[in-house]
Amino acid sequence: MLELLFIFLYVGLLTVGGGIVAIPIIQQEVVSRGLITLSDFILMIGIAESTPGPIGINVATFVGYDQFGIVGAFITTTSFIVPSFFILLLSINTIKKYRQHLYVNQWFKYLKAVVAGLIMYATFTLVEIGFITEQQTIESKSFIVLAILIAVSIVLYKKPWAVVLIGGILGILIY
Amino acid sequence: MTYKQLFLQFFKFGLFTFGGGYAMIPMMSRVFVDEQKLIDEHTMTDYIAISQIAPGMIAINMANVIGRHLKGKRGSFIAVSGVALPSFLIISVIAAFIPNILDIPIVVKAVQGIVIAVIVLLSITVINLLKYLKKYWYLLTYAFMVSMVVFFFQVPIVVVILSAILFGSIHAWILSKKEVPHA
Repeated sequence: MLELLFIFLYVGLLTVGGGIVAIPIIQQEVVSRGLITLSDFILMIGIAESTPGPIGINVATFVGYDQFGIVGAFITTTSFIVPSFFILLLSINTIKKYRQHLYVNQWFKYLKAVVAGLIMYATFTLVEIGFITEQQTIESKSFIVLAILIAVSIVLYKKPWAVVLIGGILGILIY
Repeated sequence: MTYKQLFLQFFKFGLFTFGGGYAMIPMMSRVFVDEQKLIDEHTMTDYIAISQIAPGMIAINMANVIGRHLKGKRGSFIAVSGVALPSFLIISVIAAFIPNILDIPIVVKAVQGIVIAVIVLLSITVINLLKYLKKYWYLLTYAFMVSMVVFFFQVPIVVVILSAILFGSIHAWILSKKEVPHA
């Protein structure tokens, strides 16, 4: 359990770009240590994405519960939140005070670029999951789902839940 | 706004927002800036930027800074608890009452479709972030390089963050030199 606590403390402390960027990092840690199989972890991501609330909390709770029940869920979720909570709590007034300072302003710009890059990275890891089968071949059915979902998202871009819901239904129908 | 109202408001965000923290940002802006007029738009824009680049989850960071703005440090704690609690309860219930959920074939198939849906949604988020960066070609290039080095070479995120601080500092230093008129 201590291992899980440290994984989530570490990821919560060092990940910028939100829960979605944290997921591939958590994946590396828990799958490489043999705590959860890759296919189970992928299912957890899917369920985390289709339930309400912050994705990171959903994944943390799921991993914790899977390993050690409700106590495990509580430990992973709190250890995931606590480091960044205190960092931001203690630094927010300083950040606000110096927000327009020349150096801080440049840091913000470069860090925003980092966030964009890291979300692209998270997207790449999902493309790997969604389009490459366990036999290392390309899953051609995913292209059909992708094409339909792009069309859906153009119409329903303000309703992310609808895109996820239709994605789930298409998955059941097509795969 | 009382502590109880603050808690319930963030509990609602946690309970009714699908699509994670990025989907929560516009909802929070609407409630606190447009409807309740408790935070002005300029401050909210700053809070969104800070929440994105600070470590941790966007939704939690937003709850943290908005809670602080409205009700001080205790407000931070209450807002963060409120936004995280629904997720914790829902996932615990799913994991507890459907113990073999990961073995149900229909769930496996649905998740395959959901993964593709998330790819589409994330691409939209990326496009929106890149729109902000498009005025600065060097930041656009930098963002693509970050995604490549982390994906292909597993460069730790902390190294990437430090590189941003370094490049930002160099850039700021050059700008500060330019401002000094030549004697």
